[in-house]
Amino acid sequence: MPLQKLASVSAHTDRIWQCAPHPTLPLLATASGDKSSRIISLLTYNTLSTIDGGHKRSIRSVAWKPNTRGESVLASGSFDATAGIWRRYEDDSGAATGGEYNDEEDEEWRFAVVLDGHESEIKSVAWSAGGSFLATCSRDKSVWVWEELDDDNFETVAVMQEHTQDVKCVTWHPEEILLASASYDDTIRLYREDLDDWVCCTLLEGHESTVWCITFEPLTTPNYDAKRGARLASCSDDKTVRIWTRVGQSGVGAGQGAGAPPSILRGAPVEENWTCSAILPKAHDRSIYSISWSPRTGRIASCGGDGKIVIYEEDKTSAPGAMEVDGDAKAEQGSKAWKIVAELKGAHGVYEINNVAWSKRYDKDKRGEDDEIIVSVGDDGNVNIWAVE
Amino acid sequence: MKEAALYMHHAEKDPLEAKKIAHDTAKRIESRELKLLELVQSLGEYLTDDDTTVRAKAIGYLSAVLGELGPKSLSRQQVPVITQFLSDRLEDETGLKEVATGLTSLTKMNFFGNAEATRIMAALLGVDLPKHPPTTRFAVLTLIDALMSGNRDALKAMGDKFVTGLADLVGGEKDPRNLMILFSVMKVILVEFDIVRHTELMFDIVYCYFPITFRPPPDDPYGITAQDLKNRLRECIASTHYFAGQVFPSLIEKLDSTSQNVKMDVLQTMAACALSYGPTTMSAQSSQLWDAVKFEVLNSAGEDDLANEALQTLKAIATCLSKGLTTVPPANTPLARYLKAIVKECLELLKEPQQKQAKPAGQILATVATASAPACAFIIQSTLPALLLIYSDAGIIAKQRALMQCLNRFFESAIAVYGSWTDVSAAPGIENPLEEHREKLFGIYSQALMGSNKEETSFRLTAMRGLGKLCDIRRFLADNEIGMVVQYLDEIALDREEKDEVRDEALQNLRKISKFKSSLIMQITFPAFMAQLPDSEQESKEENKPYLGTLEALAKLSLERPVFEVLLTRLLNKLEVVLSAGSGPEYPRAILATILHVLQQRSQSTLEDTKAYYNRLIPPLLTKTVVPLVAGGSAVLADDSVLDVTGRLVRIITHELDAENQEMVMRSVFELFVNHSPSNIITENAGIVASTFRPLDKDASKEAAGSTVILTSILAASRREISLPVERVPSFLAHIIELAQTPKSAAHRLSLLRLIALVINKWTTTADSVAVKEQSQALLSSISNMEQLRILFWIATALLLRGDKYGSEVMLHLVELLSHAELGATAARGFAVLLGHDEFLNAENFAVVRLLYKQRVFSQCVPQIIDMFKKADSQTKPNLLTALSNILRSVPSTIITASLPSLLPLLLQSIELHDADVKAATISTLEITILENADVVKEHVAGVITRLLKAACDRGEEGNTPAVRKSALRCLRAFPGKLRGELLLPYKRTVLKQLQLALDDPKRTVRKEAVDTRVKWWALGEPDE
Amino acid sequence: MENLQNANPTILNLSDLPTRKPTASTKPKSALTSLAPSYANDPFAPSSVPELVSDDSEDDDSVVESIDAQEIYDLVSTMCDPEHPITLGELAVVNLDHITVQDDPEELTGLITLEFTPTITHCHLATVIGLGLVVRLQQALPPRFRIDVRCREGTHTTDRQLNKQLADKERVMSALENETLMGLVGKMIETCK
Repeated sequence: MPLQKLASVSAHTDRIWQCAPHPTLPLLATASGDKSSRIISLLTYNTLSTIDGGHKRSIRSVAWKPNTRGESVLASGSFDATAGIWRRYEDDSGAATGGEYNDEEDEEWRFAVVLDGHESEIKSVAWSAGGSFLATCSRDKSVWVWEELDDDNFETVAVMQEHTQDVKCVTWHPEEILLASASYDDTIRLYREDLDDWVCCTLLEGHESTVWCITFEPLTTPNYDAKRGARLASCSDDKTVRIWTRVGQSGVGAGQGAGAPPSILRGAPVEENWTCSAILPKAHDRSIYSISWSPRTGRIASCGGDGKIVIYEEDKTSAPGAMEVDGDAKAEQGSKAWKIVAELKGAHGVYEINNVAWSKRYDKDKRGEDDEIIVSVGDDGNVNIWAVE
Repeated sequence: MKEAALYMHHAEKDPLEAKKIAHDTAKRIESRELKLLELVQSLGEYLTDDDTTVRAKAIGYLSAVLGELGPKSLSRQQVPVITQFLSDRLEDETGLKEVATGLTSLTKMNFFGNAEATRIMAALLGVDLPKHPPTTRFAVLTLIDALMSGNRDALKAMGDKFVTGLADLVGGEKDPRNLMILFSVMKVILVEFDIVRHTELMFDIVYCYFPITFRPPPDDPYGITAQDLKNRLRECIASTHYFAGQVFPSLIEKLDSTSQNVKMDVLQTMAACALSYGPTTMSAQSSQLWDAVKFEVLNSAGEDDLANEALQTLKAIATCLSKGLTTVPPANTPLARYLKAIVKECLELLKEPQQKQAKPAGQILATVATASAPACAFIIQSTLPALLLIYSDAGIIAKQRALMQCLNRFFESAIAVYGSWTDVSAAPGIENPLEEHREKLFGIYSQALMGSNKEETSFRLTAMRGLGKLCDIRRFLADNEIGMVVQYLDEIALDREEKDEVRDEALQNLRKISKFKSSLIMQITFPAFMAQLPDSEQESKEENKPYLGTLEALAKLSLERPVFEVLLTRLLNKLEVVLSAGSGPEYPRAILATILHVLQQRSQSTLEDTKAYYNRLIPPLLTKTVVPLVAGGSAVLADDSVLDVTGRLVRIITHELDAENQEMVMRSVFELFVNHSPSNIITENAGIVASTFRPLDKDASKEAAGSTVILTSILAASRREISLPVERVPSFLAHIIELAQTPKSAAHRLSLLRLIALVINKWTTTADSVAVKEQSQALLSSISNMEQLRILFWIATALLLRGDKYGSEVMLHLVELLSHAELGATAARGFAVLLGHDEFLNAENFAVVRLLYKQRVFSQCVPQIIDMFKKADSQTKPNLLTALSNILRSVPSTIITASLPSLLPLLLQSIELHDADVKAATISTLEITILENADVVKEHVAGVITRLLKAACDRGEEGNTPAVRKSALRCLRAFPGKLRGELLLPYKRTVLKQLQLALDDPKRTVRKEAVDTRVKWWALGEPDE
Repeated sequence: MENLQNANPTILNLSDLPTRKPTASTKPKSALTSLAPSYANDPFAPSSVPELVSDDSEDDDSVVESIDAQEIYDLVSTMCDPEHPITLGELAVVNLDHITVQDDPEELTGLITLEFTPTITHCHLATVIGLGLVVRLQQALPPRFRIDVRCREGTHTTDRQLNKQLADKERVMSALENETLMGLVGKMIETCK
């Protein structure tokens, strides 16, 4: 299954750390070492505008706020220890045409708020599924949760100091108020809101080096199993990709799907039990920096220092059901289910690839509504767009 | 008394006029027309005026007059009166400046005596000086200075009153000009006056200025530098040992300063004090100074200025403590105590000779040892046994080498103290302390050099250098020992198994030895080396005896006159042998080249020597060359490659002859080449030669024709006052030009072309010039081949050099030829000749070379090239650019930069040409421009950078040669620092990214350039810049 | 004098440091062999090579000189130690034997590993040294090379942590944005020959 390059946009003169496709619009945002972020059209693959002047150092991470009406909201996290909130009005026509802006609209990106509090480099920012919470994590070992009370008014609702090292990545559960963080201390932690306090409810150990990136299984994947709930994927400097699954009941509305009222039982245990249910086939020979889980096909894409993009697919039939077996046997079986379906060397020439992301395909040659693309960004400052044949 | 009024009127507005008035008054006083007293009285009214400026001006007038008076013009009675009068004015402090100036003039008077001096000084002490402006204080200080030099005893006699009084008077002075005077006054006081009871006070006055942190203002009228102040202050501080108690603790404290300058100043002041305070004082200070100063050496890498200064300070102390000592210092002497501490600590560090502080420790010992013979003796006696022990226990070679390097420094100290063979100064009384270890050292070093594995390069190099130094120490090694060293070195120099650097080092040492023991070189080295020379090329091949290296070595060793004599004899004999063995041209050429090389390296020989060389070398050589051509036999010396060297030999030797001898040579060479009469340049068969040798005939054999180079060489070497022994120069010239159109070989061609140029430049009269013109016109009008083109270029060059208008005419024709379909490209390259340096045709060889001739060529050619370029077709353009780059290449950049704006567009285009040479040339022109005045390229930065990047990065089939890529990279490297950051920063990312390609160049040397260039650009606008 | 971590380290002699064997082209020409006949260089002939490029005797690009351990060594050995005016080569902080180069023309990317040895096991400047080496190599080598700079195992009390940091791209990159650190590194690189 070959990857076909649809476009290569040289968006930055410096390395691109990360990119984020807009949840609803044909837009892509980048985060770059040149202290700026760019907005790229996924219709035409042209650069639409540049967002800069907000950060004194590299922008490491960007995230689109979900469920916004009439405007786009972008959060940026920078090595300058601050996070920024940027706003721009979207008329729906603009959205339909992929937001082909005219020049002066560049200024329309407003640097709305600076969130400071972290002591050192922010490594990752993430909005909760509903968009009401923003999580940030930093070299300072802490994870912060901010709540947007009303426009541009953010309040710190939690600061978690659980990790013993640099926190590399934060991500939210697609429906529950469940936050995950990955760290240089080789571990992953999950947090819940327990009454009005945020607590760590799980510590996932297994990776043998820095965990670079984590992502939850989207609810729309073919293999999604409501009983089992969304799984968590993680990639690491130890060159492995692992899948983690929740076992048993969790303290708070596990498996009850969205909108379930949080338990009001006093002292209900928040601890959850997650185990490593699969280790994906080894394909990378240097650190794996990023993974992405396709909401359409359920495929996982990974990339890293070896300049490869690898795509894995899970065979549903051979995949283990929710609670059949467990422990290592399950993990082993789980692992068998995953196969490498595509592997591309030198996807960014000789350069390292820092981030991959699945996105809906919008360009004129798209094959139907649920056609999809992979976006990859690398040290060459380029954004490459791939179609999976 | 109107002069007074007039003077006061002009005093400010017109100082010159005022001065004149004063002058006239002075003259009248001297001519007794006017009495000084009358003048003073006449001032009365003003002197009591309420307006202070009026009073000041009035006194000013008096002072001015005094200033104009000759020393004899005031009588024994007048001087005291005026002195009294002015001294009294000191109380009324208005016009202090004028009063002081007046008094200063008074001090010049013959009848000015100690009484007056005392009176003035007494009055001065009453003045509150600090409140006055600097210029006034200057006037007063000048006065004090005058008194100090003229009436020192009077001031001494005033005793404490003066000393303390002065302190109040000058306290807190800040003005640099005033300080210069103050310091010199203070120095006298400190040295000569009785200040024992006031040491504290004096110290405070002087030392409060240390360290001097003065930075002169940009428009400083007095040009006083911080260094001037530092030096004078230092002299003050160093001038009395009474300060020792306070100075050293405070200096030691200041040594902690973070400023390099201050530390330097402190160390130099310490040294100055040490040298002047004397042993008794220093013995009390030496140990604390050692404890403080040593760190400056031990903690540095041992190379920087500070460390060296610290070493000098430590040495200065030893020098001081050595005063009066003539023997190895007994244990109880201050010197011994001082050195004992040093030795103890340094020896400890030297136990681990590879560690960082071992080297500085060694340097300390070696440097202090140069302080005096006693110091040297003490240090060597008390360290050498221990060091030798460490050496023998060292075990590993690296450790031994480190220790040897320390010992080598000791040898240098010994040379510093005991001199080298070439020194004539008297040797010190104490026996050289190395003496008792001589055999041991000689043994160790010989063993290290000859007895250790050849792979131990650096170890053996160190040993060799050590032996070299041992040989150099005056009257240390005996001749037989030095002889052994020479044998070692010979062995190494001749051993082809040895690394080049080792063999070179051996030769260098032999070379050194040849300076003071040339006899040994001649007795030992020469036979050894000559034995290595094969008798024929055949032998050289069969027995694998390469001769080049050996000849090379011999050349290096034969710079001394006596040695060269021997070399000459031996090589000429060898040449005989080689020739009789029937040889090819290479070996004979190499032998002659060796002699040539030495002659080139040697400083001017005396006329006598030169004559001798000429007689021994030239006629025999020419005979051997020419005779075979007419009488048969090996004509190998007539081979072009050999003749080339012979020619140079002839030139270099003839050049050093005087006019008279040159004339003889000239005559004989013309007899040989032109007149065909027996020539005394030919020592045998002169008759046959005269009758049959016809090198300048059209149908001469290639060899005979080739020998023309001899004629050319002699013309090149000769002064132009010596007339050519031909009836008509033009017809001779015509004949040569004729020949030059059908040369028989490249060598022959060059000889003829040079001959033409030499004759035109050095021997054509204005009368002849018409003929020259006709001959060139003929060529120009009918030009059809490259030979003619060549001739024209050389004619043009010869004429342009002597500033001949017609030369420019020819040149401009040549420029037009650049569009010529067949000859254009060649013509373009020819412009290299026009300005290039020629070994034969130059000022040093008596050619007429007008100043600015390059400028003229430039200013005449370039504009024409530029506008030809505007309308040129695609195939002419490269020719124009090539010609241009050939001109630019040899014109001083100062000339180029002026017209660079108009040139740059062309330059940029020629970077894109294919011809590698043109590219490289253009790029280096650009580089020089950027280095010397970057502003010219300001407007073109973008264009230049993009083209250079291209030149640097595109390689492969159609791409650039490594040489071009390198020069492009070097050129890019020139930008940062030469142009303002903000002009370059916009390109930083692009340059860095682009050059990543060059980092992957197949050639290592190119990659290196790329790396260095990127570092420069990367640093642009970095925090540490 | 600020008190140094290691005031008196052992120093290797310059002449003992590994160097590239001089090639024919770099060797100084002998005065005799270099004495070309004056007629040999004819400015009118197309082939003539002017002085300013004649120094380049290895003008042939078909001969590829690939990047080797010695070249890497030469890039870093003349950097100077952050606390001594002495080079990393002389202090044996970098050693030729601890450098490997994988550069397979078949492969898109190559790998360079360099293990350095702090002068003392508790040297607090080890991180700076490591960073300096990374910066130097990233500047001086084509991007196709992955560069692994590590502190040699067992030569530093905290070599594990140290190496994890040096391996962490994100941390290295953010260090490059730290002016004081870059100041130090700049000083280290200034002395490069």
